[in-house]
Amino acid sequence: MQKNKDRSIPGKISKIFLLTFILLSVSYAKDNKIGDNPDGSRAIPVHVIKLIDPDSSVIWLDETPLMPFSTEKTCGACHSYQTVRKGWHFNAGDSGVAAGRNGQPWIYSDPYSASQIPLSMRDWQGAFKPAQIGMSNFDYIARFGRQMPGGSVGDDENAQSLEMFWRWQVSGKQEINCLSCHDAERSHDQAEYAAHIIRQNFRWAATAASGFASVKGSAKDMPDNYDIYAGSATLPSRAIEPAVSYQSERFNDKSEVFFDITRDVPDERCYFCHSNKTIDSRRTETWHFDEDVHLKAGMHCVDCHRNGLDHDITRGYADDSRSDMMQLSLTCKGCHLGTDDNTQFAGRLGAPKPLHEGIPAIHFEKLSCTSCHSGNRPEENLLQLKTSMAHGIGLHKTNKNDQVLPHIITPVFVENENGVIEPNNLLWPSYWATLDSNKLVPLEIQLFAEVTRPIIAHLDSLGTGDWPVLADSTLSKVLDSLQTKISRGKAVYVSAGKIFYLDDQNNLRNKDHEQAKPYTWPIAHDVRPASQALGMNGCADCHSLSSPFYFADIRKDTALKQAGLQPLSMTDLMGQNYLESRLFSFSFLFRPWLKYLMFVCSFILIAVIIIYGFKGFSRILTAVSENEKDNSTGR
Amino acid sequence: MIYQILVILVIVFFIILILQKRNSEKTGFREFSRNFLKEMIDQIKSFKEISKTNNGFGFLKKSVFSLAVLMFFILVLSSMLPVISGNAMSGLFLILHLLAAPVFVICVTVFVVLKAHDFQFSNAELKYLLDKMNSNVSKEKVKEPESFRLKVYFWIFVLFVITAILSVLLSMYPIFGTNGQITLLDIHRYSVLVLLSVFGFALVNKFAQKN
Repeated sequence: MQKNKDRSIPGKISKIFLLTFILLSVSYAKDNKIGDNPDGSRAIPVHVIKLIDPDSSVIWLDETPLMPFSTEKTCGACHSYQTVRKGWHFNAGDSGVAAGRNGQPWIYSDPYSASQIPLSMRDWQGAFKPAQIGMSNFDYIARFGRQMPGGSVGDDENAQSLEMFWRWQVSGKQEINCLSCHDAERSHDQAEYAAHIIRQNFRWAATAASGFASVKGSAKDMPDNYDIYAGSATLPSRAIEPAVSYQSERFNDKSEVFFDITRDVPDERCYFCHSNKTIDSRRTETWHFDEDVHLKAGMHCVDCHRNGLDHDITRGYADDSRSDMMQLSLTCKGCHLGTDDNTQFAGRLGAPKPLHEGIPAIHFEKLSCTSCHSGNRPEENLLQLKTSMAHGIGLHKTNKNDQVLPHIITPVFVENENGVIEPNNLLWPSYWATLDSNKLVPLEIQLFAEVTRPIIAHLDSLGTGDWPVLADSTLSKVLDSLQTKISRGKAVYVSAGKIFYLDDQNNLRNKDHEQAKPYTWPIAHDVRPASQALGMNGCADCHSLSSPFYFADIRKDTALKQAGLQPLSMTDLMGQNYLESRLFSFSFLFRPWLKYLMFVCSFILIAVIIIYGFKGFSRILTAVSENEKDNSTGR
Repeated sequence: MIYQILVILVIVFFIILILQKRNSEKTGFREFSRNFLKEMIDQIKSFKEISKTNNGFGFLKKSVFSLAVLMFFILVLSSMLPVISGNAMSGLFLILHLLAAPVFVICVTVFVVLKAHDFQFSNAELKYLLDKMNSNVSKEKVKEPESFRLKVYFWIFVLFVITAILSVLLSMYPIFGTNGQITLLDIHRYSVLVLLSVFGFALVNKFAQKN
C-alpha cells in the first residue's frame, strides 16, 4: 500500500523548519551546554544527576558488573568537557600551549640509582620530557598521576603508544576528575584517588575518591588481555579485579546521586597537590608555621587563581603571555597597586596599597614582590622543602622521612629573563647520561637502574629514601659498567652542577657543564605579612656582609662523597658580581655616617645660602635706596 | 625616558659647542683634543682665581676644589652612562657613585664655606643687576661686570647641590612611600642635570670671556 506522503507546500516548509531547528539545536548543544554559560546567579545549582559510565550508559545499581562513572560523560553532559580540557591543569601534553615561566616539575627520584630528574610535558628550561628518560606516557601517569587532576596525556588517545595499548585498555583513561577540585563533600578522599592511580586504576580512581563509592582491586595486577566486562581467564593468583560498589542509599529512585559541587574550590582541594613542608630543625610541628597571609585574612586560592569555563587558570605572574587586563589585575601588583596602564582594579578584594616607606624605587624594578614577601626568609643555611608533587605528601603511604629524595632547596634568588630577581626553589638534577660531542643525553631509567641497583642497593642509607653515599670507587664502578651498555659517547654521572666521568686512564674526573645547571622555579607562596617582609628591619636585611639574601651558600646537594664541591653563590643565580655585591654591602656599614655627613653638610650649605642671601638682600635694598636718592636729587 | 632624552640633549649641546670651537680653530682632531683638555683644566683652575682676597686657606681651597671637580665628574659619569644606555644605575657604577658622593659633599661644603665670601655680588654687580631690571635704563649702556655671570652660576650650583643632597638624604629615611621615593629620585636626577648644565655653561662662559 502506498504511504500517504505529505507533498503540500506548508508541509515541506514545516519539514525544512524542523530540520533546521534540529540541526541548529545539535550544533548549539555541541558548543554550548546547559552548564557552560552561567546566568549570573551566585547561588550554586544543586547537582542531583545520573551517573554515566565510560560507555555512555546510565549506571543502575542492579547492573553487573557495576562500572565506575565517567566524569567526561557524567559532568560532560552539561559542561563542555573538551573546552575544560584546554585549561592549564589539563593541557601540559599539548605542545601548542605556551609553556610560560618554569613551574614545579615532576621529579623522578630513585635512591637506588642516585637520581633526581626534573620532568615536565611543558618546555620548561632545564626540565626533561618523560620520553627523554625512557618513560612512556603510561608510566608517567602511573607514577605522577596521583597528584594530577586528570586530563593531559592520560586522557588523550593520541598520546598512547602502541606498546602500551593493552595496558591503557585495562587501566582506562585518566579523565579530568572534576571532583578533585569541585567536590565539597567532606568524605571526598583525594588520597584514595592517588592510591588507585598508583594501582593503575585510572578508570576507577575518580569513583573511588568520591564519597559514595568504593573500589577494590588493581588494574596493575591484571594481564594485558583483561577485559573490564568479561574479566580474564588467566588472572594471576591473589590478584583482585578492579570492582566498584556504590552506597545504595545515595541513589534516588531515578538512579540519581547528589554531588556537593562548589564553584569556589576549597583551599584544601588545592593543598592536596600544592602543599609544601619546610624542613627546619627549629620548626618541626605543623603549628610552628603560618599559612599564607591572604588565606589567613579570609581569602581563598581561587580568589586570585581564577578561570572561566576554559579552566585556563591564572598563574598570577605579570609576564604570563596569556594575561589580559583582568588577569593582570590579579597579580600582586595588579591587585595592590594597579597595573601601569590600569589602576581601576587596584585594591580589589580590599587589597591594601603598600606604602614601602624608605625603600628606593630601584627595588621595584629589580625585585619581584615575592622576593621580599614570599616563601621562607633566606637563611645562612638554606632550607629544604618537601612538596606534594615531589614527595607525594598527603598520600596514604608516603615516606615521612625529612631527607627522602628529591631534595629541594629553598629559597634561592634568581634573576629571570626580564632581569628581575625572584625567589625560587632549586633542584640539583642528578642522573646518568652519555656525553657525546659535549652534549649530554640522559640515559633511559631502565638502563641505568639495571646497572646501578646491584651496586648501590646494598648501601645502608637507602632505608631513609635519602641519597646513598657514593664513594669515588662506587661511582667509578657504575660508570665503568654503564660504559659497556652504551654504544655511543662516554658514560657520565651528572650531579651538583658537574659531570663526573672516567678518563682514558680510568681515573675519575669532573668538570662543569651547562646542562648540569640546577633547575629552578619561582615561588609565590606562602606570602608573609608586610611586618615579616625583607627590609622591615632596614637595609641590612639584604645589604650586609652576612646577608643570606646575597651571600648564602647554595650547597651542592649530591650523593657523592667527593670533597671540594664548592657551593654556588647566590649572586651567581642573581646574575651579579660577587665582589661588587660584597663591596656594595660593605658600604652599608658606613650608611649611618653618610646620613649624618649629608645632614651636617646640607645644614651648613643652607646656612651659607641664608646668611649670604640676607646679606645680598640687605645690600640690594641699600643699592635701591641709593638709586632712589640719586634719582630724587637729580644726579 | 624624558630624563634620558634630556641628558642626551645636554651632552649633544656641549658636543656642538665643542665642535663649533674646533671648527673655529681649524686644527686637527688630536691637536684639538689636547688643546681642549688643557684649556678645560685651565678654565677649571681659573675658577679658583676669582678671589681677590687671600684668607690663608689657599692650599685647602685648591685641594678641595680639585677633588670636588674630580668627584663631580665621577658622579656624573657613573650616573649618566647607565642612563644613556637605558639601564638603572647598579653594580660598579653604583659603588663608584656611592664612594664619590660623600667626598664630593664634603669638598663642596668646605669649598662653599671658604669661597662664598668671594662670590658675593659687589656693589657694581648689584647695580648692574638693578639696571638690568630697570626699564628706564638703556640696556646698551649697561655693561656686564666681568665675574657677574660666574657668581650667578656659583649660587645656582650651591642651591642645586643642596637639592641633590637633601633629595637623597630624605630618601634614606622611612618617610616617603613609593611615589615619594620616585619623586625624590626625580628631584635628585634633575638637580644633577641642572648642576651639569650650570657647570658646562660656566665653562662656556669662561671660554667666551677668554676669546
